[in-house]
Amino acid sequence: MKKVIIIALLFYFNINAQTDRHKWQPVNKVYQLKQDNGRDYSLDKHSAGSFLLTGIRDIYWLTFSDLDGDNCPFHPTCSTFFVKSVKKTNIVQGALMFADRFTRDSNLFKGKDHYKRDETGKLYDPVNNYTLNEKQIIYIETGSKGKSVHEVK
Amino acid sequence: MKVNTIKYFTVFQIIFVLLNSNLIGQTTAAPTNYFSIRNRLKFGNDLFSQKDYLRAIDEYQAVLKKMRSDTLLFKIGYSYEQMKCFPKANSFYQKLLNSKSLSEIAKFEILKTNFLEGNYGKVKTLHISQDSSDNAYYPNEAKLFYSTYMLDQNELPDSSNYKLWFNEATQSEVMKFYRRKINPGYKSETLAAVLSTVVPGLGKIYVGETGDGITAFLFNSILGFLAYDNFRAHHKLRAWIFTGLTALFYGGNIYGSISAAQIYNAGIRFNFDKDFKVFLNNHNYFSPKYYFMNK
Repeated sequence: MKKVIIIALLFYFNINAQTDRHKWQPVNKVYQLKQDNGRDYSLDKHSAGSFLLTGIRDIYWLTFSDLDGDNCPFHPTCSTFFVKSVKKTNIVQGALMFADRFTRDSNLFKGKDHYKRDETGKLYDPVNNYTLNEKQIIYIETGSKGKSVHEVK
Repeated sequence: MKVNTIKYFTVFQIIFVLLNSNLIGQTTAAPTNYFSIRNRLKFGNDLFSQKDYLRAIDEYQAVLKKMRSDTLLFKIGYSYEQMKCFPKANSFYQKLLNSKSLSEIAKFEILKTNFLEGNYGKVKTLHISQDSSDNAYYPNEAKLFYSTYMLDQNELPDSSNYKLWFNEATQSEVMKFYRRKINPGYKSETLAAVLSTVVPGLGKIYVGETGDGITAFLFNSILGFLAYDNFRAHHKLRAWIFTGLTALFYGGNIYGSISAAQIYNAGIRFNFDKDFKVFLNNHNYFSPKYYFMNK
C-alpha cells in the first residue's frame, strides 16, 4: 500500500510540475531600425497659403530630396528654410530670403567659414538672422564645434 | 580542597574577565558634536574656501539660525553671486545696508550684481543716487558705472571721465575699448543694398562675403542671359520663367546684402562685448579685496 501511495504521489507531482502546456511559438519581431529623417510631412492646415506651401514642400521632399539624399550642407535645409521664412515673415520676404539662401548654398568658392557647425556637422544658419530685424539676430561664434549660440540684443 | 580551589579560581576568573571587559570597554571620551555652531561654521568656511558655495550656504544658514553675523550674510550673498544667482545674492546684500561695518561694501556689491545681471539702467540709477563722500568704494562703483556705457547702446560720456576714474594700469586698455566703441567699423546696410543694386553681388563683397558675392553675380548674369536669349528666340514661356527667376534672385541678392551687413555688425557688437567682459573679468569687476572673508 505504501509503495502505491508513493508511486501515485510521484506521478501526481511529475504531472503537475509541467504547468507551461503551451508550445513556444516564433515571435514575429522586426529588428530593422525605423528610418527617420527628422522630417515632418504633415500639412499645415491653418491657412490655404500654408497648406499649399507645405504641400509643395512635401512633393519636393518625396520626389527629389528623399531620393537624392541628405545633401544640403545647411541646418535647416533650404526647403525647410523657405517654409519657415514664409511663416515668419510673408510670401514676398520669404521668397527673397530663400533666393538669398539658395545663392549662399550654391556658393562655388566654399566661403562658408563664418557658419558654425552643429552636432551633426551641418552649417547652422537660422531663419532669425535674415528677417532684417537686428534684435532677432543670433550671432554664432565660429571656430569650435557645437551649437552654442549667443543672442545679440 | 583541590576541587574547591579550582572552583574558586574559576569563579574568580569569570568575575575578573567580566569586570575587565566592562572597564576596558569604556575607553572613548564623550562623542563629538559635529553639528555644533562652531563646527558647522568651521566646515562652512572650509567649503567656502574650496569654492563649494552651495554647501557652504547650507552650513552658514544653519549657523545664522542660532546667531546673527553680518559677515556670514555677506558670504552667503557672495556665494550666490559666484553661482550667478544674482537676485538671491542681491537680497542678502540688501540685508546689510544697515550694517555698521559692511553697508558700504554691500552697496558696491548690489551695484555689481545688477551689472552682472545686465541691468545697466539700474546700475546708473544706483550710482547717480549715491553721494561720493559717504562711500569708500565710490571709485570702484564709478568704474562699473562708466563700464555700463560700453555695453549698452547709450551715447558714451566724454573720455576724460574714463581717464579720471581708471588708474594708469588699466587706462590704456579702457581707452582702446573707448575708441573701438566710437569707431566700431560697422558696414552700412544702405551702401550694401545700393552696391548690390548696381552690380549684383557687389554688396556682399563689400561686407566681406566674396564667394557669395561672385556666386550672386554669376546667378544673375546666367539667368538674365537665359531670359534675354529666350526672348530673342521667341520662346516666350521659357523667357518669362527665366525673367521671373532673374527678378527673384536679383531681389534676393539685394535683400541678402542688407542682412549680411546686419550680421556683420552684430558680430562686431558681439566681439566687442565679449572682449570687454573678459577685460572686466580679468580685473574682477574692480572689486576690492575682502580680507574679512578669510577669517
